[in-house]
Order: sequence, then C-alpha cells, then structure tokens
Amino acid sequence: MFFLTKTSSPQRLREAIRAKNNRQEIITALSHGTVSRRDLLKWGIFTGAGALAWKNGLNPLVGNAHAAIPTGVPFSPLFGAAKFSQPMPRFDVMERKAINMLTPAPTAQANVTQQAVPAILGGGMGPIEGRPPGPMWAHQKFDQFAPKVGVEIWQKGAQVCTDYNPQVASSLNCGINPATPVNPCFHPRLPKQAVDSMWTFSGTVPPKLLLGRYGEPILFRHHNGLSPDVRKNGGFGRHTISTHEHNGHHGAENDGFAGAFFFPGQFYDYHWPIVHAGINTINTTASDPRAGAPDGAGGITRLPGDWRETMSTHWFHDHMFSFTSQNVYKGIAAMFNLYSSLDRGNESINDGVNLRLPSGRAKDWGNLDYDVNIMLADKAFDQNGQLAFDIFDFNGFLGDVMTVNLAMAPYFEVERRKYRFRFLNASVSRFFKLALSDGSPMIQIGNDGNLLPRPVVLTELDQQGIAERYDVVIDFSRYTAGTRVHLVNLAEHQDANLVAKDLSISEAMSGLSADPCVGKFLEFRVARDAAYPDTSQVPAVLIPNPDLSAIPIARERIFEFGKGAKQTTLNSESAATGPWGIKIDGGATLAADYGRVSAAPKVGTREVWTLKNGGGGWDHPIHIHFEEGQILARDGKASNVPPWEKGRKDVYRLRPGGSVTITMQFRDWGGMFMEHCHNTVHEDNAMLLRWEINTSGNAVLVPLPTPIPTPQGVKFQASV
Amino acid sequence: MNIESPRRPFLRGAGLAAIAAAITALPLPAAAVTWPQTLSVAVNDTVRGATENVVFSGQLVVTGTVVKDTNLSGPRVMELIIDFSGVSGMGATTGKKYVTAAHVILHRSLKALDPVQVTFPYYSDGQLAAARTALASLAVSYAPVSGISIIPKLTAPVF
Repeated sequence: MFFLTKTSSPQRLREAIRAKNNRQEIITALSHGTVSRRDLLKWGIFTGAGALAWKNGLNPLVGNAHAAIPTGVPFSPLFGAAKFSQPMPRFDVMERKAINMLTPAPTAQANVTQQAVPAILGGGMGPIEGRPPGPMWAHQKFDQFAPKVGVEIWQKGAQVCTDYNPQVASSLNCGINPATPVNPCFHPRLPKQAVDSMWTFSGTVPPKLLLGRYGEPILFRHHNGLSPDVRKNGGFGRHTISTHEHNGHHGAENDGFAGAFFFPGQFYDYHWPIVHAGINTINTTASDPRAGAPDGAGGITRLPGDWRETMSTHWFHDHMFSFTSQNVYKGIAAMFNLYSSLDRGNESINDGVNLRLPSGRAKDWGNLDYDVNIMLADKAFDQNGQLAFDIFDFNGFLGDVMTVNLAMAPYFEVERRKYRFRFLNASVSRFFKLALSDGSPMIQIGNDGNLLPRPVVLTELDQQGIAERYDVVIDFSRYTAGTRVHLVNLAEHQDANLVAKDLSISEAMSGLSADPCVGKFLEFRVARDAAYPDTSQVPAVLIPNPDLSAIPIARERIFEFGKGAKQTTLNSESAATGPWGIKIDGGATLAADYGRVSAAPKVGTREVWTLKNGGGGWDHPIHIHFEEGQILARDGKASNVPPWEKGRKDVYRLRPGGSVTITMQFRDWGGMFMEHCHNTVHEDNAMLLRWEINTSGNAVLVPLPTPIPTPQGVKFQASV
Repeated sequence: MNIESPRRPFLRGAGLAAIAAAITALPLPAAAVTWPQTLSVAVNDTVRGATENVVFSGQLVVTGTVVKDTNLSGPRVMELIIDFSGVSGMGATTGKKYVTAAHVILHRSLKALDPVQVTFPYYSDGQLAAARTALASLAVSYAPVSGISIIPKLTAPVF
C-alpha cells in the first residue's frame, strides 16, 4: 500500500505531478475521442488487464510512492478551506411547469424537426430531439398517462446560481439567503469551478431536487446545453448525455439507456408516468387508499396498482456509455423525491394511511422542512482548485475531499426534533459507513428507493455502496441546544476495489487513518428547540413487501461479475473494452456491448437471479434497472439477509467473494434495460449488459434494433 | 454543550495483554476450519447508563469468513457478522427488560489479533425511538488452523 504523504520529498512530488500531467494528456485525448481504449491497448499504454502500463513517467506508482487516495493525482489543495466552516446548502428545488408551457409540445414519438448542426459536429441538419425516432422509441402509454407536469432543464457548465429555491425558510437552511447568488465552488475559499470543469443541471449548485407525486406524470425535457466542442471538457467528461431516472418504473425509452444519448443542441423528452407497479393487474379499480397520492387538499387521490410497490427516494444521473463515471463526477446528478398517500411529506395529516414521517406541515405534500436530501461524494482538485479525475486505475476513482451537497465538509443547523435524511452515495467508487460521533442510535426507514417493511434501529449503518440510498431518522431532541455532533465515515479505503477496513467510531475519529475521507465530515449544530411541536412518527410498520411467492418462477439466471472479460462483438459503436465483465449462467465473461441482449425475461413473469462476485479482492454494487428486487438470500442463505435489506432494492452490494439471490417480476412496461456495476469506473470499463423484456408472446425474443446516435440523427443496427 | 469528550484508548495495553494470554490458552480443534465459521460467545456484563445500569447476558453469535482475493493477491479480509439478538439486558434498578436486534457486518484486515469495537443499540418495550447505545469490544483472534476465537466485553461507550 503506497501513499504520497504531505511530507514527501519535492522530487517525489514533482515526479507525481509530471506523471499526473502525462496521464492527463492521455485522459484528455480519450475524452476528446482522438484516441480509443483499443488504441491505448495496442500501443501498450494500457495492459491487457486494463491497468495503466507500469511505465515511468506515466504511472506515478513507478519509481516513487504515490497516493492511492486521491487516485492517480496529487493531494487536493484546499486554499485554506477548513472543515465545518461553511453551511450545508439544502437542495435547489426544480421548477415544475404546466405541461402546456413546454414549447414545442411533447410528442409520443421523438420530435424530428430538423435544425442546423454545428460544423464541429459534422454540420448538415439533424433532429431537435435526440430520442431515437419512430414507434419503437415512442413513449409507451403516452395517452393513458398524459404528462401533467413539465420540467425543463439545461445541462450546462458551471455558472453562478441566481435563482436558488430551497423551498424551506432560511432558518431551516443555516441562515442561507436564497437571494444571494451562489458561486459554483465547493467552499468559499476554493476557486470557482470553470465552465468546462463542472457540469450540473442548470450549471449551478446546490444540486437539484425534483418533487413528484404518484398519478402525476412528469415530462422531463432535458436540453443538452454543453459545448458542441468535445474538447471543452476540462480534460475529462463527454458532452453527449443520457439521463437515467434511477429505478424509475418507466418504459425503456425513458430509462436513460446508455446507448440512447443525445448531443449538444438537442433535447430529450423523458416521460415519467410515476405509477405503482402492478398497475394492470392489482387494485385495478383503484379502491385501496394506500395506493394513492396526496390530492393537494389533505385528501388522497386513489390510484391503481400495488401499494406495496410505493417508492420514495430516487435520483437521476448521466448514463453515457463508457463515460458515466466522468460525467456524474462532473455533477450530472440530482435527487427525486416521490410522494404518495403513504409517504406524504406531511407529518400532521392523520388519516390512518399517511405514515407521518418527519417532514413538515405547511403544505399538503412535499414539505422539506425536516426532510433533508443529502448527496455524499468524494472529490479531488487539481492545483488550480478545479475538479480532477484520473481514469487509469480501472478499479475506480477515490477523491480525498468529502463533500455533502457539493459543499466541502459543511455544518448543518438542526432543531431539537426528529429529521428524516435521505442519504445518497453519489461517489464514483467510494463506499461509506455512517455513524454519529457519539454513537447515538439512528432509525433506518428506507433502503434505495423504498421504505422498509419495518424500521431498523442502528448505531452504525451498514456499508453504503455507490448509488444506494439510505433513508434515516435522527432524533435531535436528545441533545441540548448548542450541542455539536458529527456524522462520521467509518469505511476506510486503501484503493477503489473495496473497503479495506470498517473502523470503529474511535478509530475513525482518531485522525490516524491514511484515508482523508474517513472521520467527521458533517457537523450537526443543534441550534434551538423545535419551531413547532414535532408530531412526526416512525411507525412500527412501514411498507411490507409484495408477496411474489404465488407467482411461479419462470427462470433462474446466474450473473457473475469479474475480471478478464472478452469482447466478442468488436462493434466500434456499441461495444466497450475493459478488464471488467459479466459471465452469465457459466458462459464466458463478456465485456459490455449495448447491442448484445444478455437476458430476455418474458413480460409478466417472475425470475430469480443470483448475482455473484467473481473475486474476493473487490466489491461490486450491482444495479438492475427498471424492476426492484427482493433479496432472498446472501451467500445462499436467507438468514444472512440483514434487517435493513429486507425491503425492495435496486442496488445490491455483493460483498467481497459474496453472492446475492433476488427475485423480481417483470411487468407494465417493455424495452431494453441495463444491469451493471455502479462503481461507475467498472461500468465504464465494460461491466454492463443489456437485458430486454420479451413482450412478443413468443418463446424467443426478437431483439429491438440498437440505436446508434449521431448529431444528424439516430441510426439503428441489428442487435445480437 | 459540545458532547465530544476525550477518547478512551482503543484497548488498554494491560487488557490487551490479558486477552492475548487467554487466547493463547485456547485449545485448538483437530481439523482445519471451514469458512464461514460461526461462534456463540457468552456475554455477561454491566453497561452503565444515565438512568440506570443494565446487566446484559446471553449469546453473541459471530460468523467469520476469511475472504480470499484469488485475483489480486492483495491483503485478505475478515468478514465478521455479529448478531446481538441473543443478548438481552435487565435494568439494575427497575428490572426492566432491554433487548437488541442489532446485526453488524464488518470487514477488517485479517490479523492474528484484531481488537474490534462496535456499538449497538438497545431498548425496552419496542421503544426504538428511546434506544440507547452500548459498546462491544471484541478481541478477535485468528489462526489458519483453528479459525477465530473471540473474547467479548460490553461497556458504555465513551467517545
């Protein structure tokens, strides 16, 4: 284990910086598309195993001892910024428009109205919408679930935010005045991010939050406002994007398929119907108030579907094929709270259905006063304070600066009452393990998008993999005003493979860890008594799992995630190369090709999938798009499933050498979806596959053609 | 009030030495261990509390697995799954029963002797919101042939 310490010799530091610069040139060339991974393999710059060749001047680990954290780059300069010296901003709530405010009006099929394409993208004419054209990529059930709310947002480079809308009073946002312009920086003492360094929704910080409710379909119009010049990326990141509504139960055309990306100057209309799963088969008369949504006036709008499939905490992020890690790291990530009759976002309505979780009471639904979104991510900065990234370690990327809501190690003022926190791990490769610095109990109520069947009281949360969400209630009434208590990260990394050691709270706070992201990273300042009586609850029963046991198991599949992948298709458009891959049912370990269909469950059926870790030297948080699963067993035993994993999930941490057996039912929508490791460096280096729902009624799937986007329009190629 | 207080040493040197001596005296099984290995470990300790002391007793169930890195020859990991549900407490003053359903999963570097500390919550009458915290200090020893053995100690946490 090598680390470049702050006391390393100037020569070693110079070597590391030189090597980092050399690597950066290669990264830049890759990100600009002027060289490919295959070229680098051919030239011997990447090894067959996918790592950067051990050459002096390219790999900082050669000839010196260099940092593993941050991965491949020198320590981040902090420009005098200290921990807990800035407030944590609440998320910036996205504007919801009447659907008729969208121009042009959304259409079921992609809008292929032609526009001029910039010369740098090849010139000529191309469609204004990047969605693949024609009926196969038309919004499914667009008339049945006609969009009621329009959300329109531009992906942009960093700029000052002048319209911050946290939707809470300043007193609940550490006194931040939302009228004050917000600079795109991680701390007031850190430099502003340049327009090419950070790409966020609207180009601004704080990160964005969308509020939606069941039965209110959203048309999310995403404009690509990035530069058409692929070189204007600060050295990493790709200006083509695809937006994945993480664990949305929507048609595939709205899923953010990795190969359905769109170009600068185009938009993509994502139609998110927000329905309960089972809408066509369960509670079809909409008689059960538990399957419902807040009606805006204290009541419930009853909806069809299975109430036990209600979801709560989502996020959406870029899913550009081979560039997800870089683009999400640059800021293309936001959160999405879903509200329902059960999870109302109102703690005072007592109708026997509303769970009355900590939130607030002023609005009928979606109160954020005491319902706080938290986006955790580790970052690294170059010598100019700009976001830095290194793609050469195919095990992943670790930063050395902890950020919360894109603010470096902030503080957050709380009242003496219960809060709900929706923790999202938005890192590239880092796992977290959270505890309070005094070891006080927390109550976990949700895992991934879903409330658990029962709350689980914990003093140390489990490891939280990339993309996992943990909803947790913390009761600050146990503290006196003036108390400061910290959120602590116990998961120590030595590299991006896996957590090297889960520390005790004492160990993590000792300051002895070589991992800069271990220890305290968020300070809660107990500011005052509750502004009004806390009527929120944590009920003993939240949302039970749907019972799938009566549905026959149509098929079992085994997916093994490991190294040594082969690329058999060699399609330059849809295939990736890299060390990582997926073996299915004992076959060869294959590298990603989004033109290859690897599994085709039939619509309406239930299957059992076992996800196996192919090695003990790494962990993989595996994400399966579209359908949630229930974990039946870990390492083959039901008794190994811990209480906080007994709800529905969409990300499954395999653990080193471990396996997870899950069950899922495939229904309501069709098309092509993905399954991949959410260590996004693994994903980008070929640990991804496409699966497709067989809606034909035939025994064998006839795969949908694979989209190949270009600025002049999407082409299709035959799938394999 | 700032609730932070000076940290207690992770494991006092003398205590560690005593634990090591106790481990040395443990008999070895005749055959090599098969992973995962599950141990039931008896606990009987008093945890001091703000309102009353609680006497804990019962069986701590610990499942240990040595995870081999077959691909990278990197440092090996010991996975410990600690199930506290067989442990319950009795209030020394009130006689009230305290339970814990805590379940902890830890990944630690594989060592011959690893002093592990982990907190766990306990509560009475299903009152999760009123849960309190105890600290389990586990001296986990490992040998390739005998596997793991554990000496536990439950105390009140001091951070």
